[in-house]
Amino acid sequence: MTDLAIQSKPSRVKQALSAHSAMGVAISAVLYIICLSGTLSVFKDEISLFEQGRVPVVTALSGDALMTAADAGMQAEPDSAHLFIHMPTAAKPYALVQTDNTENFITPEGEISAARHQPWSDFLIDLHYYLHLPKSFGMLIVAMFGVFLFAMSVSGVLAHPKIFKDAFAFRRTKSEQIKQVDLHNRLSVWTMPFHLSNSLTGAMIGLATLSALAVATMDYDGDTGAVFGPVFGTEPPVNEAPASMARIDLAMSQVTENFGHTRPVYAILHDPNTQGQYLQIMAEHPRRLIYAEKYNFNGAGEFLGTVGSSDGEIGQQVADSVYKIHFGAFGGLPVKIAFGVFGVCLLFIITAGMKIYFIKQAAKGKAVPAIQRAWQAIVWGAPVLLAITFLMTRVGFAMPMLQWVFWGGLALYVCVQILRVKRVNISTP
Amino acid sequence: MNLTFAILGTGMAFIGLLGLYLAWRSHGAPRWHILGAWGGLIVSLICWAFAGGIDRGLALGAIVICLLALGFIAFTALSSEKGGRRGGLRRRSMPDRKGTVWGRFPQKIGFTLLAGPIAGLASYITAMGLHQALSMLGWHPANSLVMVLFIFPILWGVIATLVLISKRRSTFVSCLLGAPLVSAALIALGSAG
Repeated sequence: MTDLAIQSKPSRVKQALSAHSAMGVAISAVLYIICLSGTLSVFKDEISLFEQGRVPVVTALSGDALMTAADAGMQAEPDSAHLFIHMPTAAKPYALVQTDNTENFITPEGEISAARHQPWSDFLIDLHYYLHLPKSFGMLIVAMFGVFLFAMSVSGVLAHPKIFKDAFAFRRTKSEQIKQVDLHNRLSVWTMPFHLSNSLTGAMIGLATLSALAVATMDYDGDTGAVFGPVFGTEPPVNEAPASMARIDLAMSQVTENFGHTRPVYAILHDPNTQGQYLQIMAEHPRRLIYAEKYNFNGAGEFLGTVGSSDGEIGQQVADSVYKIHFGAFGGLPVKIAFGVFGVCLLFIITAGMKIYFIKQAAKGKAVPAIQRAWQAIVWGAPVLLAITFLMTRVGFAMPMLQWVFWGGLALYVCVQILRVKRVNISTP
Repeated sequence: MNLTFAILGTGMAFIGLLGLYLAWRSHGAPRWHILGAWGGLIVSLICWAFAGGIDRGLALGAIVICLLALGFIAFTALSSEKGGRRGGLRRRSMPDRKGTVWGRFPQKIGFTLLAGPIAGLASYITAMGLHQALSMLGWHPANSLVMVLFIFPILWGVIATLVLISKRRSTFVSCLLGAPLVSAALIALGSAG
């Protein structure tokens, strides 16, 4: 190593540590809320089922049941441009029929049994995806925090030259600072595959619209809808002349007969009850990370081909794998529990990082008690307020009241904590 | 799921991590020891790829390694010796109770929050330039699009970090202007073509 390199390395580490610290302080509050809601969102299927209460157990849907469900769904909203049938699986022994604005559980015979009513799940997902902001803007903001989380990982690695040498060091009985540093570093290093993949997939999902805007301008004459055609396929031209319901039963039987290794999870009908209606059976490939291959059919139930999510271009396969990677939906409950553990680790990483910052500031005689109090208010306030909002839904409250209680309560708690510090400062001679 | 390969993969992950743990404890393990331990982890991932599918199996293998590693860390934490200076730093610390409540907080946060969006703009232009370059090279639209979708946040994170780390103004400027200018030229070239 040259003299210059020896001199520059500590300086680079110091700068990286400073950048890591500055970024952490700037983003931790919102990042903590996104990660907390994301950790809970891993179990959204289980939470939503608990919220819903008793639903009809459905292990399979026959062709007749599918057609009955489709007709019932369209009767609930005749003008809907889409119809979805959520197929039952071993992990989810229930089925739903969904249109643009309605969603209902169905019986094994395909008849509507109860409307979907999961206000807290909707509140939680809305918090994680959009921070309860208007959707396009909120998703962009959340994606930016995904980028910052990735940047935190990069700067963290740069700031930690002994990353492998200290791979297992955890001096629990040393000073508070050493304990927090070890907790922060060890959890960060050994859960890095999780938070790198999650931050990048989250950022990619959120920034896709922004990227599509530029790509559409460059390659598709401004048509943003066409940008994702090569990845997720394109719909045939619309023909709104009336027609009878598409033969979902025939399509489904073809998928189960010809692609027996797959598990149908959705039947999606575009422009139902029109001449141009277009049916997609989405089927999971059990040994793949892809969400589902799309098997396309016309209204008469004739097979048109697949989109290529399972065996098409590598870009198609990667794009289709993003959702399952982000939410840990590729190995049943054990993987969800593992993602839950990693999510909790990430919360510990964030809180330990902030504790290190506060300890260092205090050691330098530059304590920031107001910020520390505000931070503690967020760390404890956010989960408590999530629990309160959940209890509120049990007695009939729904959005937007839940949003007001969560954000209003959090803001109030933060303000109270800051004011308490100021009062102490004023009264201290 | 092929259970035999899954058990084999889990076993190899444990052996690999145990090897790394013992190397860490011995403070100077021979290189073959460390390489062997990493080799064990790679073999574990290969086993998991056979057990659960090439992409899904690798992801499952990575999860198993991470969980086992957390177990090793918990073991280290629980078995760490007592006798350290508990609260040693607290004695040295001088909390500024009377002074600033906010400290230099806004200044630090302000620079970071400013650097973030600027880095975002630079990475956006760079990513689009890359898309143009890949299109000109004849990449399939799906591949070039997905590449750009991933490259954009990666570049954003890297550029933001470099900008915040850089001490010299030249590094700062080249991070923010270098790649975006080349990319803008590529986009202009593509549009003209």
